[in-house]
Amino acid sequence: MPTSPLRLLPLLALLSVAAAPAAVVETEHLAVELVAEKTALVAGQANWVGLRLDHEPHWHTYWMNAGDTGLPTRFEWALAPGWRAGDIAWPAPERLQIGELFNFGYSGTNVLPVAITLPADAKAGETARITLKADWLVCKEECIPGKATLELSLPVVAAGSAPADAPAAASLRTALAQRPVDTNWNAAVTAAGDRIEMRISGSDLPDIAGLDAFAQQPQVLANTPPRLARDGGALTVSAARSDYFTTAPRALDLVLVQRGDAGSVRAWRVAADWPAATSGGSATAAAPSTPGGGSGDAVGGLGVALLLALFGGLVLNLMPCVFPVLSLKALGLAETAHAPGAARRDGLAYLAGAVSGFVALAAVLLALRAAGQGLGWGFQLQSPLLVALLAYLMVGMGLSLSGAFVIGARLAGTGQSLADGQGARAAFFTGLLACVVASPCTAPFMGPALGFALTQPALGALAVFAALGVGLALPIVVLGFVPLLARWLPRPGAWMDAFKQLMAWPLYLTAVWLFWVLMRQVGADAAALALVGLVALIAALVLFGRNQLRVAPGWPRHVAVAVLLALALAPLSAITSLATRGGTSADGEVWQAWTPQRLDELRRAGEPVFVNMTAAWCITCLANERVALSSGDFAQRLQRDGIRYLKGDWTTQDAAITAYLAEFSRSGVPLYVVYPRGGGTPEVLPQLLTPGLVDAALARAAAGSSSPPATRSPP
Amino acid sequence: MKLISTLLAAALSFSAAPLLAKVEVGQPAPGFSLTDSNGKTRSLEEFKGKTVVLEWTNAECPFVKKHYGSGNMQAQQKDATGAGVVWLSINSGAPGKQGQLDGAGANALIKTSNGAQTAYLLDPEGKAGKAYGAKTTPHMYVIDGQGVLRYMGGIDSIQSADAADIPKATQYVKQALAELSGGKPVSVPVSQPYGCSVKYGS
Repeated sequence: MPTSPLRLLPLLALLSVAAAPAAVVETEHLAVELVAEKTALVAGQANWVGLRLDHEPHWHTYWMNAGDTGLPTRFEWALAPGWRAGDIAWPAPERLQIGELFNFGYSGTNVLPVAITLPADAKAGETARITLKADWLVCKEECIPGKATLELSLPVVAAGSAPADAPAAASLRTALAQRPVDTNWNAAVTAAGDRIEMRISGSDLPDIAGLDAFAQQPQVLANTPPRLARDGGALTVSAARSDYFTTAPRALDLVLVQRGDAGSVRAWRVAADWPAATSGGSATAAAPSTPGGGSGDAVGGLGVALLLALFGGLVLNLMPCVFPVLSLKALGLAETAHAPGAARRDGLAYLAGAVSGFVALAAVLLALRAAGQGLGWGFQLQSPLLVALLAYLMVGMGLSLSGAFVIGARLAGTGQSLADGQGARAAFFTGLLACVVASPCTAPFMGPALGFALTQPALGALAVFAALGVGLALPIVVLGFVPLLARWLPRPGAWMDAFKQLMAWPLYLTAVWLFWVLMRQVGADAAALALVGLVALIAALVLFGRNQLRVAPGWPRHVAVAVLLALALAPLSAITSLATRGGTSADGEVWQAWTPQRLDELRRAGEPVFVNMTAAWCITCLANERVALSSGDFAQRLQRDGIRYLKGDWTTQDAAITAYLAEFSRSGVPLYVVYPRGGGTPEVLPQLLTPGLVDAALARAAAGSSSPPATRSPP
Repeated sequence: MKLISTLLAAALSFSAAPLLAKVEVGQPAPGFSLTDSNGKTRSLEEFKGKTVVLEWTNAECPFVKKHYGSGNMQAQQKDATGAGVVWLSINSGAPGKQGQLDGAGANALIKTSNGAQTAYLLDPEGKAGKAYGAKTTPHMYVIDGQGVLRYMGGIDSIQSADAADIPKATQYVKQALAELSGGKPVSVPVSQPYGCSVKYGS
């Protein structure tokens, strides 16, 4: 509360016009004073005045965006006619943490400057009185609203004069120097899921050491500290979306604040238009330029992404889970070379099946992401149930190839189905099946590449997935349309049976791998239960095969098959409830489990950190760990240089990891990030590691190099 | 279909529980069970079928004082409970923090302030507060009879500690309750909460 003797001070000041020092008004936990830069106000120009805030230790007032709680300080001026007061020229705010809440504001001593513009005809020689009604909220943990009416009397001098500095000039100029400077940097905003990212490029970008970023608009970004990363020539600020985000602002204004060790403060303002509503076709200006999957800087837009996806789809044909099935399909086509019309129709139906399979899967993923689920590509394999079902499918198909039973002419794609007119439909479902059997392979091999697609607007993303389907189907389509090619295939014959038998084995091996993933996901108990189910499935299929050989199997045999099938599927329902998260413990390991908090802690302490984002079903990740991250040299390097190794396991769904991946414009694992000592720019390593490459990166990090080369993944 | 439901189930079963959780309008509101000022255990479940208002409060916070000192909050409580709405005031202040109360203290406060809430719930461990991500006092939530969150945010549209602003402000909770009872969608389902911080323990 203002005390009465102090209230008198302004009046006393008015009496002594010559040097009119303003009065300090003491309120609870805060002393305020209206100050000016100069001892006089100059006519016809802007003059800096400001409200000086002297906070008691641990107390603070607020910035234009107050954060989770609090209120911005507000000014109301009473000036002579023709005089104008500008808005508060807010100096750089501090991020103030109370428990889990974050506020933006000021502590210690600070000045909120305002420019007062005098008309050219302001009378020189007169004494002017400026009146400010200020109100604020001052908080430690508890808050107290305060207000004061402050007055300042200063002589007016003629335009062009240069009055002497007032005593408060220095503190006012400090505040002015801490205003964010407007920049001409290019900035683009992307909003994906519940994260909002601004990518800034331009010259003289600040280093991220000691850097923080604040949104001027409330209700856009969450108030927890954003993640900052230097990525080559760009600076990326990635923040969670505010829980209270309702409507997108027209533009987002970010204030970047860098606090140096010696108390120096620099600030910049960068603005970016909010991305336009989702549209297909063109890649928006906001498209991040760090696609995963190795496309380098060159990926400018959707076109390149589509080509890459097409190529990826083609390569999928050679994957162990796809090749056996599709090679047989291709051989089957050789027989149809004599019926080109049917072969073409079949090819197109197959294409339609593969494309709809991928598009449907992508649509589910996009819908779940839109609903706020932190999912990325590979999410299919994060469901233990689906992993078990895929393992069953692999064994089932393997048994069919081994000759235990016949799936029926349709799936195998022999000429018979063409004759009975079921060809097109069968081919469509074969395409769909190809997409399903490919999924254990798409996730680990294609995950990083598809990450890029997911950062695109929905239609663009779906187009990329469709291109993947086209790529997968392409060989078969080509065979159908170019009968000449089909003729080059070996003639069907007895050898095909032997080939089929052989092709069963990659499928069994794929099943083994899927079971290993399942074990990592749900633990040994639940996985063993799924294996029991698998035995029942094998029994069912073998019995089914026997029945097929009989001319007229009796109904008890059919019932037995059905019962066995039911027994096979029953354990699956219990898988998730039995799951004991079988994660590996970090005991005795060189790594610690990754958590965003742990990473922030280490980074704040300026320690070098190596982050490895991995998943049990990610083959690239496992290969990298084996080749480059499990040697004695690697462990020694970590220990010698005091580099912390944090490992995040994305085998099952983890929203925090998904969010972290998104910061690097990734939607899948692997991701390797090295943070240098002293908190410099993090370096993203390629997706294929070599021991030498890792060692060099760790050496740079240990040395605390401030600008490591931006490395990108190879194609 | 099976694929989709499987995926949904898998996704839901991995909902992480951060310290300060977040709730979403249109989603089921998290359940809670707290002791009221009379020592009785109250849960959200108990009020199934009724519209429920949650009001985070701390009588010593200037923003709470703004709405109690002017009688705005009590009037809204009276209107709401009169119309069959359940109004729960929740104090998530940790022991020793500003505004934290025991049952007797809360009852005395209700009496002196003429509070018309259905119950005053004590949440000294901050369980319910954190489950809802309550940040400020006041911080308001409206839950419909099906247990779905329909509003979250500030008590009204003018962020200030000045009671003179109340008549000029849109009272969001009042508006949401009127719209819900009229079978209409809530026109402002989310607003920025403003006030003092909820005084959670560490």
